Amino acid sequence: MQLDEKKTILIVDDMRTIRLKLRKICTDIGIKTIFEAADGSEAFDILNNFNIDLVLSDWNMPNLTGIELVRKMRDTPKLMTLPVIFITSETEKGAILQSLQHGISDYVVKPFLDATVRDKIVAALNNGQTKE
Amino acid sequence: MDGNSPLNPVHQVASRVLQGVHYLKLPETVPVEAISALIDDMRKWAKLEVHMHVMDFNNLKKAPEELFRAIQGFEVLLKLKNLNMLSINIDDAIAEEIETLRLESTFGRTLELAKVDPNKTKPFSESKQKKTLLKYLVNAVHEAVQITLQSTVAVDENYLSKPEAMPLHEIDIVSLVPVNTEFMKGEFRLCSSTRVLERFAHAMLGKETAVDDELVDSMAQELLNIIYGHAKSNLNDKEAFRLPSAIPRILRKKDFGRIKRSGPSKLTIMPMVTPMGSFYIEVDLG
Repeated sequence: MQLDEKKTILIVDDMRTIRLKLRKICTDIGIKTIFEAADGSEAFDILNNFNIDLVLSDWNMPNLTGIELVRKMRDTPKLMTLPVIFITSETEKGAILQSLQHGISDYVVKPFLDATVRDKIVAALNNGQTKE
Repeated sequence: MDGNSPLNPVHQVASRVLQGVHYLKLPETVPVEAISALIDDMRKWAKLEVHMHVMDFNNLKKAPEELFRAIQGFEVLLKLKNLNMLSINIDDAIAEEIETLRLESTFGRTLELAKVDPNKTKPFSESKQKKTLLKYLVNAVHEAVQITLQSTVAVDENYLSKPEAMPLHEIDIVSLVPVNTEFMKGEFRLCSSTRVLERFAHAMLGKETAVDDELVDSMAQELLNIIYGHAKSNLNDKEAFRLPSAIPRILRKKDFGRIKRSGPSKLTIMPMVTPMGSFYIEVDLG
């Protein structure tokens, strides 16, 4: 399951272990350009300065949470439709509903299997739109 | 039909399914001519295997009566499956229309959505609350170890309660989540040695990964994050708990003086034994 190596991914998680884990999964499916951010605020800066095809984001993070990041993205014309996959242990109905309202592409519940994340990344990148 | 179909060109109602929640979002206007196509889709959506249907009215200001009747019919189909529909973003004008049409039985409770989900209450005895909490934490530990670390864990159900049964000087790192809400006051702690956390990091990230102090800290944080987060979501959804979201903090040995452990009546220490070594989950309700 290989992807266009020009695709770019932004991993947003305050935990280094998860960033490393997700980076490994992305590398295994052929993604070469991977950005990392430790919170939503750092992620938003990266999104404004680079062309990203997909965001993998945690929910609970300091400074700017995952859902706050997505709200800011949806208010920014360039980022309005950028696919986002939440990778989180937040599985309460209220969280799912907020995600749906903000057009989240998919949801991965922690703890996760590598294959689950891999499949969802491939699906999101194949369904997503092309970079500007 | 999986619920994530492209927008129907006639009625323009968006339909998506995520984690067992079916979300429908109404467009800015729904013309009367589109209602029959919408009813056809509603029949299909009613067959989706989901836990909940949500109708987002998208603050629509005006809608034909036929739309309300269609939604009422949809709700009847859902009731046959013992499911409810929640409605959100209902404009005041639409709420009035609902009242005029006497459709409160369909929409009445949903107008109160803000009060429905996160704040439901249920009386607990302290012992039942503790028993339930521990049960869900143990389940979360099993999931975390099996999936994240690809390993097994045995839990000795004769939990410890005296602090001296697991002295902190035998521990190198504690990650902790303090909870200080009206619902519960206490602290969740994961206590471990550096050696065991290094093995966990290798199990999670591969043997070739260079493990430094920062990564060991992150491992302790993430493990508790998964365990607490998993237990919290299930407890809040299924048992009417109201535990808050939290980001675990890390304490190393030199800072253990900040930990105030309670006595046996408030403290539960759960030893978790894995082939890579043991760690402890402490629940301190003092």
